[in-house]
Amino acid sequence: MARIGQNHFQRNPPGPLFGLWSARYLDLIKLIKLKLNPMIKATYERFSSVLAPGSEFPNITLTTVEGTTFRTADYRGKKHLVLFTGAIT
Amino acid sequence: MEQLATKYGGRDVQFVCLYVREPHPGERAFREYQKHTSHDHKVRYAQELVRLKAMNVPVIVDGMDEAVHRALGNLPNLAYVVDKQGRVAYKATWTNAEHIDELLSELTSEGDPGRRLPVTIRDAAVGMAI
Repeated sequence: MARIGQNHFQRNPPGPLFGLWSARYLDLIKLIKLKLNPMIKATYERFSSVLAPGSEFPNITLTTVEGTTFRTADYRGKKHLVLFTGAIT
Repeated sequence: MEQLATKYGGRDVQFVCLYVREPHPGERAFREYQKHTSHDHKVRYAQELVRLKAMNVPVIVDGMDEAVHRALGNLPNLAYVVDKQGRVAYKATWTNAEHIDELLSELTSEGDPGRRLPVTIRDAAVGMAI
């Protein structure tokens, strides 16, 4: 299959009005909706209020994908901890 | 983040990835990944994530109630750096490897052990700041 790049998109717009109604523009509308969503805005505001820098980090005990137990308390006084979230989508 | 974990692997920094709810289940690019139906389903997806991204960082799976994720602020791509004393040194709404690299190089470059660590406390509201 030929690689579909920007040139291909410009030559063959998917639909009328230079592809203005293409599905990729729906993502833009979705993004604008997300930005205007008051619930999401509230989540961001709440994030700045929880666990302020300098405050005590809670003890987290969860199971890893390998089945071992991970405790943040184990690293206190020994290591700095970097926690980030992940998901496939 | 994987590159950072490799960079600071030998030093006293522990990286951990918290697997949370899928923010975009079933969307166009990810049709085969649907919303979690059970904890086992979630664990399976977490294993899939490890496989897809070839992750060496330990991945912990949050419960179906997302208790830990909610306690941390409930944002899909948040990041925290906790210092040795167990205090939050950095938090961000969107994971930015460059910022974390900068902070870690500061945290790990301690001179004499008696000296208190120069912990920079800053709240980086970057990325998806609304």
